[in-house]
Amino acid sequence: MIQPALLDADDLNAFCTFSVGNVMCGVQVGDIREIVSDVPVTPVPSSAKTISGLINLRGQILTVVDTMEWLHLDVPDVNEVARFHLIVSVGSELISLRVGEMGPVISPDHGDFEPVPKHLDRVVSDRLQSVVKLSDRLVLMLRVEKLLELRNSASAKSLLLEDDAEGSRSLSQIVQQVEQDLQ
Amino acid sequence: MGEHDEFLSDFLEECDENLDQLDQELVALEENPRDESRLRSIFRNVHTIKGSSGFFGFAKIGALAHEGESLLGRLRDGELLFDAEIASGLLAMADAIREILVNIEQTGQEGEKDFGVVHSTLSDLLSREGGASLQSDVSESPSGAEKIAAERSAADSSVVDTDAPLNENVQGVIAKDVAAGLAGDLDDREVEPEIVSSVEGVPERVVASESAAEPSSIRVDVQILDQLMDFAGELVLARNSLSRCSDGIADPRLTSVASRISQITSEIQDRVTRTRMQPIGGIWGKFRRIVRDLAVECGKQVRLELEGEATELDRSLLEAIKDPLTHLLRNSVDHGVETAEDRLRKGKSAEGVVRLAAQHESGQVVIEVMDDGGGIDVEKIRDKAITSGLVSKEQAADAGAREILNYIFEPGFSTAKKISSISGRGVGMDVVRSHVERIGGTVHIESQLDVGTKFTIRLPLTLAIVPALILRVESQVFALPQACLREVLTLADKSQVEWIQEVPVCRLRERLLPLISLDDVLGVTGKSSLSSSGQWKVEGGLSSSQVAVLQIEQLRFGLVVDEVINGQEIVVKPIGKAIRAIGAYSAATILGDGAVALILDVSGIARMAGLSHDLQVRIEDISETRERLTDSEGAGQAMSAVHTGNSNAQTFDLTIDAVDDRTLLVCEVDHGREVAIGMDSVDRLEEVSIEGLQVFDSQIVSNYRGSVLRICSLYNAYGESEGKGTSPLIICQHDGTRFGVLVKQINDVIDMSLEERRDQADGSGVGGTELDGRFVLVRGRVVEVLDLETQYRLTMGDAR
Repeated sequence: MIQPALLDADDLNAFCTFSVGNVMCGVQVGDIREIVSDVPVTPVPSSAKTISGLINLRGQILTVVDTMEWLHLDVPDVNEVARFHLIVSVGSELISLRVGEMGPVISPDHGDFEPVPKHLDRVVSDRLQSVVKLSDRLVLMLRVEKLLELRNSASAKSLLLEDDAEGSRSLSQIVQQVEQDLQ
Repeated sequence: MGEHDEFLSDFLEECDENLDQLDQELVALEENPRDESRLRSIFRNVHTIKGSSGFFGFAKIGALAHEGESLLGRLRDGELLFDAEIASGLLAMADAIREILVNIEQTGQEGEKDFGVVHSTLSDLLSREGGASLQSDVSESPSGAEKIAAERSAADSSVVDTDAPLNENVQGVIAKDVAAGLAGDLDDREVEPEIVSSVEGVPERVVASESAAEPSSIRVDVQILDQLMDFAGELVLARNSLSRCSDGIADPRLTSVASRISQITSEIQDRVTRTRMQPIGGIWGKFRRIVRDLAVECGKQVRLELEGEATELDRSLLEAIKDPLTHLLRNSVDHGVETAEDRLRKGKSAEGVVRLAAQHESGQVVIEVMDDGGGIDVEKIRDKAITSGLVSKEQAADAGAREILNYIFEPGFSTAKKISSISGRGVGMDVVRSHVERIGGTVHIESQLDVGTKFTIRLPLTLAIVPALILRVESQVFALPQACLREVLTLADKSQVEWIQEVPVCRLRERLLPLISLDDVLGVTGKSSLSSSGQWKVEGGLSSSQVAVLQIEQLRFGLVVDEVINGQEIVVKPIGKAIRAIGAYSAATILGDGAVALILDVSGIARMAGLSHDLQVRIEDISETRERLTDSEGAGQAMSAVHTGNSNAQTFDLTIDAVDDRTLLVCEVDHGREVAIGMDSVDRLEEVSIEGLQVFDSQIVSNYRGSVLRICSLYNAYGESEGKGTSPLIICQHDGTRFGVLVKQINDVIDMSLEERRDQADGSGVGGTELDGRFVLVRGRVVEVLDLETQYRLTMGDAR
């Protein structure tokens, strides 16, 4: 059930990639504590959409973030089950990022990093660190510390209220656009 | 260096304890200045501080303690008499040392401050009534070797004397170093007369150190205890899983092992919980000082009485309760207790009493803070509540004293005419309540003008493992702390739910109980069980509902869930901020099968549902208004038939009351027919043995609590023969005379809502003026309202 990540956590340029809906995302390897899969998630009624629920990680209760919602991504047509949990430590808390499939660990060249597209929804662009252009794909590098921001009640609530579809659509549109261009 | 650090932190900790003890003893000595054993104990205490500070070379502490010691030496020798001024001086010394200790803890240094004022105060006190004797004492002082020996043994035993001594090894080191350190320390200073006294002190201390040679308690790092508690929690969870597993396997060996483990787990949990328990006296000690200082500041005479200091509670709770208690005490001294003149004018003793009492009560800790001061003027609070817009004039006028008093817990609420440095800014009482509620407790206030005020705080024993009720809504399971649970009801069918304005209520023993559907509040299923017209939509669903009756403060409400599964001990696990911010959950737990269950925050849920005490009051208002309405328009007409033939006003009142009271007792008589009796005429409900009833002529009588009770038997009157066994007897009262009404069984207690009465008034419901007000509709059934006046006359008439 628990797969230890056999990675060099000290390597600042190593990114663990994974799918979130139809886009590829990455998190610095050092931020990841462990990766677990197929854990029952207890939903939290009345919670923000970005909160998927709670899991029991060896007696510790972690909040599970619905990464798709967090990034305002379109829900894909395919009924993908986000079965992996990336356990990241944010501040003093552990948070689980619920993701689709695990991808390879990448170490992009310096030149591959691009700034976050400007015309994105503020909320979403704040949660991205950078964008990495691979040969055929774009990888959105997440700003893990922003996961804590979601836990801030006031801002988290307001963020969710202004959850306008425009920003979200543009993110996946941009990704698709760029990926088409690459191919 | 690490070893030194360890000694240093031990020193700091012990000094802290010594200072706290000093505070308490000084205050106690002030009350009884002739208590010589206490004075000696204070002396030893200061001496210990001086000795151990010398070992670490903390000259400032040493100098302060030295002066204090000199002063105490003169007190002990009877040269000076202990008074408030000396007490203040010595307390100031303790504070100065404390300040230095904080500095040492942070920087390792004593800091720059020279505490000149404290020094001069102490030396002034010391030189009172001629300090010349000091000089002569010098000649009497023993040789240097003796001094060191004395200091050494004193310092040595001081380490052992604490109830949790350092290990022997450390003691050895300290003893050795103290000798060296003190030798150097003393060389720098003049020979002081206090040494003689320390020699005297020694024999006692040696005895103390011997008895402490086999320590019955040890110092344990709090972190280890916390971890132990965590593991005990894990063990409870594992035990719960094991029990689940073994239930499914019919292997006697497994069953016996599982039950043994279960038993041991409970024991371990109990003991571990106990290790974290500390007597509340630990934090109370400081209160003596606080009250004393405050009383001096306010120019009042206040005595603090402590009761139940040995009452134990979890140390985390102890920490959490310290501030609220301090605040309540400050309030009592500042606002509660009057000045001596005022008190005397009111015929009270000049000295006010503030009482702090703690005790265990049914799995909770109850702490009371009482004062015999001026009390709270309810009318003032009422006015203030109205002017600050917390409550409307009408509501305030109707609200009882208890409700009004609760407004003092509202943020920003203060009636203090002038703001003092101590209290009156309107912050505080709300903080008291929020602090107490955060740790799962409640706070109540009672107050009587000129008599005093009492605050009652109720706390759970521990926070880590709590008894809870496991609930289910659809497929989701929640845990509900039992602390606020009163009872569990089963809603047999939806007709038990009434609607007052938009609020569903049910009737529980004459009280309206607002209902909240957990599903609706949290949106568990995402579909409301209430339709837009405000009726329960899922009729079938509700038929199997259960209601957990909860109480927070004075708010009582029912939480409707699909099922109450069971009650079990749960381990409270923290949850992330984002989830706590929702307000509906306080924490989470892990169930036996490893699944996570959220722990409901009862007050949060009431808030989310828009349920407040105000609302409850309003609901009751509404039903009262309805009553009044009925009284003026409907009732007189509807009830006219009931009192026909009764011209006298008194009987009229009785009849009206009987029916007009919204609560009716519905009883079955014979043939399944039902009659209703106004609840307010009912004195008691009894179960009587039918054989015990006696019949004289046609009059049934019974021996009821040593007097003759005449009984009118509706059971018999309706033609059904009386059998054996027991039967309910309704004891009614009229004209100060009791009489009994015998019925077949008591079916229900119902509320007659306005609609039902309108129906009758219009004649549309039951039809015809013939029935008039003698009948009411209860859930569509016709029920006769018993004319008690007639019954009374029938019962008593024969006797007259």
